[in-house]
Formats: sequence, C-alpha cells, structure tokens
Amino acid sequence: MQQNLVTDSSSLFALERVHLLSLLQQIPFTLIIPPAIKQEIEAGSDRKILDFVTVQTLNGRTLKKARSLEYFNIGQGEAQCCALAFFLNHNFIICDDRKFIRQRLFSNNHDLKKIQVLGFAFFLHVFYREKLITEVWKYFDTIISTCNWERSEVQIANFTLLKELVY
Amino acid sequence: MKATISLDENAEKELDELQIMTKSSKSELIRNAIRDFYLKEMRAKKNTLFFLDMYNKGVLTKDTLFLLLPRLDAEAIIIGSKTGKEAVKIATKLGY
Repeated sequence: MQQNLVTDSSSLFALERVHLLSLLQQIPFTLIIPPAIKQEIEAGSDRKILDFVTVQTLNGRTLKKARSLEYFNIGQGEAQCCALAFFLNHNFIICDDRKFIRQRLFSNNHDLKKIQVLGFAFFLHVFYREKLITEVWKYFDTIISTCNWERSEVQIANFTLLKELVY
Repeated sequence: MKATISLDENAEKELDELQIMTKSSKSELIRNAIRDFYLKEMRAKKNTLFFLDMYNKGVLTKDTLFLLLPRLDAEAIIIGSKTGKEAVKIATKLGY
C-alpha cells in the first residue's frame, strides 16, 4: 500500500543532483507537496521534478496553521509542509533545509517542536532496500558536495541516519 | 609579516585587558588567537565526521565539542545528531 510523504523542495533538488528522481516512481510512497513548494520547484531549474510528486492545496484550518507557523519566521514552504503533515496525521516531513532544522530545535512553538525531520538519506536507504541502487555513500557524498552541505546540520543528520541504519 | 589591523572599541578594550592579564605582547596574543582559530577550523574541515562519531558514542561531550571546534560546527554536530537519531525512529515506523 502506498504511504504519503510530505516533502520539501530541498530533498527533491538533492535527488535531482544525482539523477535519482525517476526511482521515486518505484518505491511504495506517494510524495505530496504543498503549493509553496510547487512554486519553489517552478522557480528552480528543473520543473520535471513535478512529474514525481502530487500537489495538495491547503484550505481552511490547514492554511491557517501554515500562516501561524510563518509568523514564527518559518519559510513559507516549510510552514506549508508542516501544516500538510498535521492534516495527514503525520508528525514528520522530508526536509533538508538547514535553517528549518535549526529553527525547529530552538523554537518554543508547540507545533514546530512536534514535527520531526527526515532527510534525503531516507530516500537513499529506501532505494537501497528496494534494490534500486547498489550503494548509498557514493550518492551521499555527491549530494553533500554539490549542494554545499559540508559541515552542516544537513550532512550530520543524514550521515547519522545512514550510520544508525547500519551502513 | 607586518600587518595593520582595525579593532572596534570592544576588541581594543579586551586586547588591552588580555595584555595585562597574560603579560604578553599584543602581537603574541593576536598570533595565538589566529593559531587557535586555525586549529579549530582545520579540525572541523578534516575531521567533522570523526568528531560526530565520538560524540554519538559518548566519548565527547557537548562542552568538549565547543572547545575543540568552531561554534557553528559544534552546533551542527549536536543538532544534526539529534535530528538524525529522531529520523531513524520514523524510518523504522515506516517499515524501513
């Protein structure tokens, strides 16, 4: 059965850098993005990312929740991702935004504290488990260097995830 | 090498105080500061993942990280490690 994953543009751009986007169609997850992330992707270099995701509009309370998070200086994209995750009864999003990872930890906002973050390494792990790729570290290193994530929370979080999953 | 440096009021005051406390010359104090900064940067540049490993194994504490590495690198290890460990639990819940 397909499970829903709310995804930020940063993780999708990371997969695009190592040409692994097409593998998203072969895993048991449906990637859902809110309208703000769609706009970020459209403004970026590669619109074909939109072929691999489903856009879900935000209404009523969900939109209000997103706006309330923006009030705490959270980026519009990440705020909408969090609101969408709550709407889908999830307590996590896929995100590799360094600023958001820091804000989440230092914030006093109750909703923000509830949200947990998975990074691009989760996709690498799933691809490996589904036997779609034969190793993870080559892709990990390329993503970290091409996205300029060396010595950042993003590198450490994704590295820790892979190490803890016994790679 | 001779150098002319610009200091703001605070830095000048602190340098003066340091000079009195350590009985060293201002040049020596600045050389030491550069040396400390260089060592921290090089440690972080070459061995971030080693320090992360030591931190995750409990060999290094948060305080030690801040002593050995630049502030941003120490923070990245502490925040990233916590985020990554939380992510493992979610991955497991998702069946992976």
